[in-house]
Amino acid sequence: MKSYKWYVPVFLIIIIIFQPFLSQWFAVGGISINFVLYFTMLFAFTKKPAHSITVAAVVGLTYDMIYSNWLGKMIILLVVGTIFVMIVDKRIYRENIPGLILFFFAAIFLLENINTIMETGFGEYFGSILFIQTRILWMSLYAAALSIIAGIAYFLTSLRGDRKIRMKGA
Amino acid sequence: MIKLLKNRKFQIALSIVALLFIVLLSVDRFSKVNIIRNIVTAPVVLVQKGINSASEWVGGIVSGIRGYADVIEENRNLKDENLKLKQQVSTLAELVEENERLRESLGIKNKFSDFEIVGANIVGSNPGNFYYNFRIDAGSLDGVEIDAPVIAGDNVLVGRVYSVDLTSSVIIPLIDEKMGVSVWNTKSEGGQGIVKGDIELKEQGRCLMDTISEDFDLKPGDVIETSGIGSIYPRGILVGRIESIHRDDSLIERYAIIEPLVNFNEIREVFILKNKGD
Repeated sequence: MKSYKWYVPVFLIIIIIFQPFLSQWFAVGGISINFVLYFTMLFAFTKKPAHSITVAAVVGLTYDMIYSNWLGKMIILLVVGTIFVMIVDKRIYRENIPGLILFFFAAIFLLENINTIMETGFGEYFGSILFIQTRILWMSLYAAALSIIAGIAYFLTSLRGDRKIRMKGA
Repeated sequence: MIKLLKNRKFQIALSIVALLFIVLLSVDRFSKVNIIRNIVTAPVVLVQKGINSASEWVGGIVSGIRGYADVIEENRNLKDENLKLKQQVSTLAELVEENERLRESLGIKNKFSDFEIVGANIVGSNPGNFYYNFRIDAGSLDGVEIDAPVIAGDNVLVGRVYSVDLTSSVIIPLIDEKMGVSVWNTKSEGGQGIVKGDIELKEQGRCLMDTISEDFDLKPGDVIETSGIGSIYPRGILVGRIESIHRDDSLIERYAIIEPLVNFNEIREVFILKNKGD
């Protein structure tokens, strides 16, 4: 329990409460991202898989209870997003900004497509697929641009030793 | 049995099964399992209400500062007097606005005498990519029910109640794909059509009218209202203005683009119509 970081779920719960406002305040040309999904994936890079999955499930359930039409939608998205991170985390260093940009672009693109299908159903999704893909593409670019800040933040927070240990291991 | 209950893997499996069960039940928005949402929504709505007020307050200060700077530039000597006048005008404007709102709500009460009127404030919008809905600060404790029509003060349709918690509810706007309202023309009261949301038009704040009957005489600029057909919306609520009319060649059917009369970006207060017979 010594290594348990309580502030991660607390921070994510605060982001959940602020999500409707954040998506308004930080919208660029009417485009924004789901900050809960984004931050959960960012934290998954820094935590052990079991811990990340548990946090994703709890945060997802809390989000669903407040915003979703049915319980489970965000649990699926966050857990799948965390699994994506677990797969990539073994292959790239989290300070690798180009790697992060590519990862978040692809991950958000896939996850938002899954999200849209779950929300609108297949009929509506395929009926307006070009419109939907254009919008999701912009959202993915937004997430990719944010990854530059995330990469710098990872680099600064791991300067004190975490990165050195990992680099020695490599 | 006790040994099995203490087994960690069994506990995890049991939790997953219980969660799946709740998830499946929650798909039905009328399901009683959705009551567990109140554990989170009740306190969160209170916090969001505060954030919403703070956000509006900050916005007011920012616009106030801008106005103040203009006054200094235009007339430095009258700065103090100007500010006082501004405050007075602002207070008066608020009083006039409040008076108008009260008059409008009184009008609604007279018009829909078969309904109980529940007033509510919009606390915030729920996040989503291709859908959006609003959360209001009235719930089942206030008498709000699922599928109740929601209107603005000037007898304009906003949407309907989608889900209800104890102290808050979610309303879906007219432009949402889940909406479907039977309408007719306010001029002739003849012919019918169905107004519903469309995923692409929603981005422009518009909605679609299709299933238009042949005897429906409509022109761009005409105002349409609810026809009262169906069990949800009473007759006579203003819906929108016809922006353009098109003909689908493949279906040999007309469809129209509707501009809702309500401005979803500016609306702050709504009224929920509750049937007295319920």
